Amino acid sequence: MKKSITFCLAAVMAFALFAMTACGGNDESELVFGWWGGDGRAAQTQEIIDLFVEQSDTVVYIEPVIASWGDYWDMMLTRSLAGDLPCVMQQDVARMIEFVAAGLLQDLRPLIADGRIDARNIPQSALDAGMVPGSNGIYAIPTGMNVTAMTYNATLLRELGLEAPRNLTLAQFMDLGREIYARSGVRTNWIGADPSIQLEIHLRAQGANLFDFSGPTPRMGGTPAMYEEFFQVIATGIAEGWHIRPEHLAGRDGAEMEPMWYPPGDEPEFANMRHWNNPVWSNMLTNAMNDAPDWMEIGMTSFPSNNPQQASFGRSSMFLAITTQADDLDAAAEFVSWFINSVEAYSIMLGDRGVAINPVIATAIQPLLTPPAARQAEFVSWTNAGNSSPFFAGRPEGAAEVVGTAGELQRLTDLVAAGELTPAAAAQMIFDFGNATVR
Amino acid sequence: MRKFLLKDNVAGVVFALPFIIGFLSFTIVPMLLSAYYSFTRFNILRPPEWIGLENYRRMLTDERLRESLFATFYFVFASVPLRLIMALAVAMLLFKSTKMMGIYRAMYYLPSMLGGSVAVAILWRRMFFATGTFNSILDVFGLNRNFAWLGDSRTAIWVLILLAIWQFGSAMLIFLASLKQIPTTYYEAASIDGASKVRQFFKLTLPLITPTIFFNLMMQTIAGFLTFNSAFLISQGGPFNSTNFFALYMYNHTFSWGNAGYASALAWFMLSVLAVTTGILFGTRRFWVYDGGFS
Repeated sequence: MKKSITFCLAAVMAFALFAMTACGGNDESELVFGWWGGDGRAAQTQEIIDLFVEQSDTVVYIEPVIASWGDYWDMMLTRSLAGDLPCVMQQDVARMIEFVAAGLLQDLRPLIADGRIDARNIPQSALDAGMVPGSNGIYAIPTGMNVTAMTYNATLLRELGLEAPRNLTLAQFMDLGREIYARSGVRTNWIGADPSIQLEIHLRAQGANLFDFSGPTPRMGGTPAMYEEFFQVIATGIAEGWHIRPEHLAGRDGAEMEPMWYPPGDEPEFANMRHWNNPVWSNMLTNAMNDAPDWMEIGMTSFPSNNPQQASFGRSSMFLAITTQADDLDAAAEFVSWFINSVEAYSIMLGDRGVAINPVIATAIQPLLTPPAARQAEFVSWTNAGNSSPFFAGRPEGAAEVVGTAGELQRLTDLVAAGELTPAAAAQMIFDFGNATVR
Repeated sequence: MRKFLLKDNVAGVVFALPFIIGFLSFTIVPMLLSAYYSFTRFNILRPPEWIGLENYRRMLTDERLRESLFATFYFVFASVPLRLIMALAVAMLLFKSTKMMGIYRAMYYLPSMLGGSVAVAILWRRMFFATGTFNSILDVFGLNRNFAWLGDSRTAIWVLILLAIWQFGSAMLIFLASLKQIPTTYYEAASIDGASKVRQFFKLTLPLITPTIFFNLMMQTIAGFLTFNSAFLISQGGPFNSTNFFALYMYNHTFSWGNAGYASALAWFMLSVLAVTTGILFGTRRFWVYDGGFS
C-alpha cells in the first residue's frame, strides 16, 4: 500500500513537471495568442485561429489567452515574470513603451525584411505606430485604426429636435447638455469611462499633449492652467445639474446596465440616472449598436473640444506583437503575417478591432461590412480627412498610476464632482502628481 | 532502498512533502522575495532596482495610503464585532437538536461558502444599485428614494460590511461546537437556582466560550484586514477611496500601476500592523478570556 502511494505521488510530481511547459516550448509548432476583449471578440478570434490552423502547414494548435482590458495587463505582467508570455500578444500603444523597455517584445524589422512577415500592404504610418521613443525598432503591427469618437442617443436628440454635429465645440456641447437635461432630465457625460482620453483631447486643443516626451525624461504636458477647464466642465455641469453624478455610475455592471439606456423609463428619477452620450473610441460603435435596446438609434460624433480638428486624433489599434519569450519565432511570424493580410480573418471580425489598417483588406471587405462597421469606417475616414491631427499616443512608465484605472485622475475628478476640490486645485494636483510619478 | 522507503518516518515525510514543498515555494520563498522587493523599484516587467528605504519613506507622505488604512480599520472595527455577534446569535438559535437542525445549519453556512465568489459580488452590487432589490424592499415601507448606496462614501462601506456580516457561517460553526462542549448540568443547576435564560447566557455561556470568542475574534480580525474580493468586485475601492481597502490598494500598486516594490513594502507594513493588532489582542486575553472553560 505504502509503495503504491509513494509511486502515485512520484507519478503526480513527474506529471506536474511535465505539464509546466513554456510558450511553444516543444517540437510541434504550437503557439499561445493573448488578447483582450469581450465574449464577441473571443468567439470571432477563435474562429480566426481555427481558420489559420486549418490553413497552416506548420502550426497545429494555438492556445487562446483572453481577458478583459484591465485583467489582461495584470495577467501579462505575471506571465512575463514567469517567462510565460504568449508567443503573440495583442499590444496597445499605452503599454508598449514599458514592454519594449523591459526587452519583452521582438523587433519585427528583421522578420519584415526577410519576408517572414509580409508587411508590403501595411502603410508606413501604421508600421511607424509600432515604434517607441528612443528606439528604431518596430515592435508591433496594428490590425486596425480607431479614432476618438462620442456615441450618443440619437433617438432622444431627434425627439427633442436637437443635433450633435461633427466637430462639436465645447460651448455647443455644454449648451446641448443643458438643453437635453432641461427638456428630458437625461444628463451628460463629459469624461466617459476613461477620463484620460478627454483630458488628452482637451490639452491637444490647446497645443499640448498629456505627456511630453521631448525632454530627457517624460513629463506632464502643458501647464497646470491648461488642465483647469477640464475639471471646470465637471464642476459646472454638476452645479447646474446637467452632468451625470458619479454616484449614479457606481454599481453598474456590464452592457445591460449601460447608463445610456439603464434604468429605462420616463420617470424623472430614472432619466436623471442616464446620460445621453459616451466619449469612447470609434470601434465601440459596434458594441453600442448591438447592445442598445431596439428602439434606440446610436449616433456618433467627435469629442467636444474648443479646437476639434486639432484635438481629435486617430490611433492605430490592436497591435500584434511577438514576445521575446516566444520559442518558435517562425511560427509566430507566420501567424502575424497571415493575420494582417488575411481577407478571410477580417471578414470574420469586420470592424471589431477597428477599421482594417491594410488598405487591400479594407477594400476587399467593404461589401461585407455590417451597418455598424460601415458607419465606423465612414467616421474614421472622415476624421482622418483633415478633422484630426497626428499624434503619438504612447504612455510613459508610471502613467497608469496617474491616469489609469483607479489612478489619481479618477480620484480628482470624483472629488471635483463631489465639490470637495476646486478645478484649479485639481489641475495643480494632477500636474504635480504626474510629474512626480512618470519616468 | 526498499527497506528505507517503507520506514514509517520516510512515509510520513513523503506524505508531508507536498505541503512542505508548497509551504516553501508558495509562502517562505515569496515572503523572502517580497522582503527584498520592498527595498527596490520593481515594475514586474524589468529587474528590480535597489532603492534602499525609499518605499518605506514614501509611505509617510502617501495620502492615499492614509485613506486606505482608514477604510480598512473602519471595515474591521465595524464588521468583525457585528459578524461575531451574528454568528453567536445564530449558533444559539441552532443549538437545540431538532430534526431540521442539520438543514438549518447548512443553510446558514451557505453564504460563507458563496461569500467570496464573483457571482455573489455581482449580485450584491446589483442589489444595492439605485434601482436594485434593496431599494425595492425599502419601497414596500415607503422609504425608497432611489438612493445609490454604492455611490455615497458614507454608505458604500456598509454595503461591504453587510456582506461580511452575512458570511458568518464559519464563525457560527465554531461557536456551535464550543456551545456543545458546555455540560448541560451547569444549566440544570443554574435553572434550579432560579437563573433566567438571559442570566444563564451572560453568567454561564458567555464566560465559558470566551476562548472561542477570542479565537474567532483573532481569525476574523486578520481576515478583515486582508479583505480584497468584495472591494475589488463590488465597489472597486470607490467612491472617493472610501472602500479602497489595504489589500486592494496593494493590488493596484502591484498590477495596475507597476509599483510591485512599493506594494511589497506595503505588505510588510500590513504584516507589522497585524502583528501589533494580534499582540494587543493577546495582551487583553488575561482580562476577559476564561481559560478554565470547556471550549
